[in-house]
Amino acid sequence: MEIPFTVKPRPDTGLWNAKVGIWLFLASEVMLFGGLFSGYLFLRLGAGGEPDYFWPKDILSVPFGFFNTLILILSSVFVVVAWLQLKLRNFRKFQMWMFAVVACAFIFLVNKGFEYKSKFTHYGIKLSDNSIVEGYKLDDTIIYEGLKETTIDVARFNGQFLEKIDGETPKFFRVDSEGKAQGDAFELSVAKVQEIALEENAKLRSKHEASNKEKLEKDSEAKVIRWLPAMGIKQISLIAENEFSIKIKRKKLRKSFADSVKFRDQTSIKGTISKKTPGVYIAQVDRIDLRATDSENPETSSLVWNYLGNTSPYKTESKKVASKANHEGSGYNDEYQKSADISDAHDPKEEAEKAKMIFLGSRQEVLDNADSEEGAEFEKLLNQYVKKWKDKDGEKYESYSPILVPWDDVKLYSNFTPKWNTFYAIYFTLTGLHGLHVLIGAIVLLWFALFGKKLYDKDPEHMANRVEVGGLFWHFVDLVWIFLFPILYLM
Amino acid sequence: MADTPEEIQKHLKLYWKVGYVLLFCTVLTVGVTYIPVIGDNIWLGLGIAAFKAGLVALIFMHLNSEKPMIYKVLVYTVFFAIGMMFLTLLAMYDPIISPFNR
Repeated sequence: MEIPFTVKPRPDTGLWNAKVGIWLFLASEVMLFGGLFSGYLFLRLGAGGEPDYFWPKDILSVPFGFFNTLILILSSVFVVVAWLQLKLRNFRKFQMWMFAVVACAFIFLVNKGFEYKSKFTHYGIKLSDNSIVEGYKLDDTIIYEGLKETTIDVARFNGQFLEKIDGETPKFFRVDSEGKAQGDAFELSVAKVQEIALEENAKLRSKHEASNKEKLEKDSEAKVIRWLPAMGIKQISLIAENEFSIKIKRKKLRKSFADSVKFRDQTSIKGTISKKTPGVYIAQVDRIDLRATDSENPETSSLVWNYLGNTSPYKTESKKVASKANHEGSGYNDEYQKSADISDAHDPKEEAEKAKMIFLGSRQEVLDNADSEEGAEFEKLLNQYVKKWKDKDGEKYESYSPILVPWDDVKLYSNFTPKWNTFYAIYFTLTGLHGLHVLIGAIVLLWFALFGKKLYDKDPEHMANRVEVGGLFWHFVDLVWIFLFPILYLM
Repeated sequence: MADTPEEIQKHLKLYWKVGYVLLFCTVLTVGVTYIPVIGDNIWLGLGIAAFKAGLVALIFMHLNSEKPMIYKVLVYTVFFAIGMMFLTLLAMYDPIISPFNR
C-alpha cells in the first residue's frame, strides 16, 4: 500500500505527514519534561534550608557534565550535516556522519554510566541528631546471635533466613501454646511450612465444620458461616534445636531491633546483635555535613565526633583472618597487606582528630569572615571536605578517617540513590529519562544508517524526510540536556 | 528548505557556525559560574541555556521558517508548559505550607 504525503506536502497543512506527527510527539515530550522540570523547581524551592533539607550543590562532576554537553552538541551538528548529505544525494557521507552521531551517543552513555556508578558506590549515613557523614566502602553486615524462637508468616515465608545462617542449620520443633517444643525435630523449608499449614488447616476446618453441625443440630434455622481459607493458620511458632546465628547485610532485613530481627518475608526471630557488628561502618569518610544537626554546638556535641575514628571490630577480625589465611596459604604477602585497607595505613584515631581539626578550623575561619561574606559562604561553612590535609611535615596527601555509627544512632543510610535524598530522586529521574531518549534515538538513527539504502534507492527524498524526523527528535534530546546541564551541575 | 546544491552548501556552513557558537556558549556557561558575582549567575546561566536552546530550535530544527500549523501546535505547548511551572510556583506560595511563611 502506498502511504500518501510522505514526500509531497498535504494541501491543507502544507506539510508532509511525518513532520506533523513528529512535532505533535515533540509537543507531548515538552509537556513530559516540563512536568519533571516543574517537579525539580518545586523540590528545589521547597528545600528551605535550615532546619530542614539543604539542596546539595557542587556534588556532580562539572567536567563530566561539560564533556557530555559538548558531545551532544557535536552530535546535533553531525545529524543535521548527515541529513544535508542525503539532500546532496551522497549516501556514503550520510552514513559516515550518522555513525559519528551514534558514536557520540555511545560516549555520552558510557560517560553517564561512570557518573551513575560513582553515585552507587558512594554512601551516606544520617545520624539520630541529623548530622550526615558520607564516604566510601560501607559495611552494614549485622550478626544476630542466640537465635532460637522463630515466628513464620505462612503465606509469605520464602526461606531467606535459612540461607543466611552462619554455621550449621539447626532443626526446628513446633511450639505449643505454652511455648514448649512438641513433636519431632524437622528440617525447615518452604515445602515443610506448607505441609504444616495444610495439616493445621485441615484440623481447624474439621473443628469449624463440627461446630457448625452442632449448631444446626440444636437449631436448624441457626446462621452458620461456612469455612473460608482466611480462617486458616497465619503464623507458625517454632523453636530451634539449638541456638544459631545469622550474618546478613542490614539492608536486606525488614526491621532490626536490639532483641529481635524481622526478615522481608515477615519471619521474626528473637536474639541479640553480636558485639562484632555494633553498627554501620564507613571505611573512608570524605564529607561531614552538620548543617541540619539538632545539637546547638555541632563543634562539640555532634554525635559524629563520638564515632569518627572508630573502626568495626568485625572488620578488624575478618582482616586478621584474611591476612592469616593469606600468610598460611600462599606465603606472607607484603603487597597484599598494604592494599588490604587504605585506612590501615594511618592511625584511625589520629586521622579522626585531624579531620575534626580541619573541619572545625575552616568553619572557624568562615565564621570569622562571616560579617563581610554572608549567604554564599554558609554553604561552605558546614559542608567541608575532609579528605585533604597536611601532616606534620606540611606534606599534603589524601586520607580518610573511618567511622562506626551504632545501630541505634542510625536514622538512615544508603548509597546515593533516590532513597538518600530528594536531589538524587529528581537527578536520576531526569537524567535517566533523558538517557533513555539518547539510547532510543541512537538506535533509530543507527537503523537509518545501516538499513536505509533500500528506501534511498527507491525514493531518496522519502529517506531524507525520515532522517529529518529522526534528526528533529535528536535535536530535542540535545535541547533537554542544554537545560539539564546548568540546573543539575552548575546551580 | 532550499534544494539547490549551492544553497545546501550555504546551509552546511551555517550549521557548522551555529555548532561552534553552541560549543562556545557551553564554555561560557561553565565559565560564568567561576566568576564571583556578575549580577545573578543562576539567571545568567539559564539565559545562556535559553539562547542555546533558541539556536537549536530555530536553526537545527528549522523553526525559523516553518509552516503555520507547527507554530500553532507549539504556541499551545509553550503556553501549557509555562502554565505548569506557574502552578508549581503557586503551590510554593500556599499560605499553609509555604517555606517562605514560616
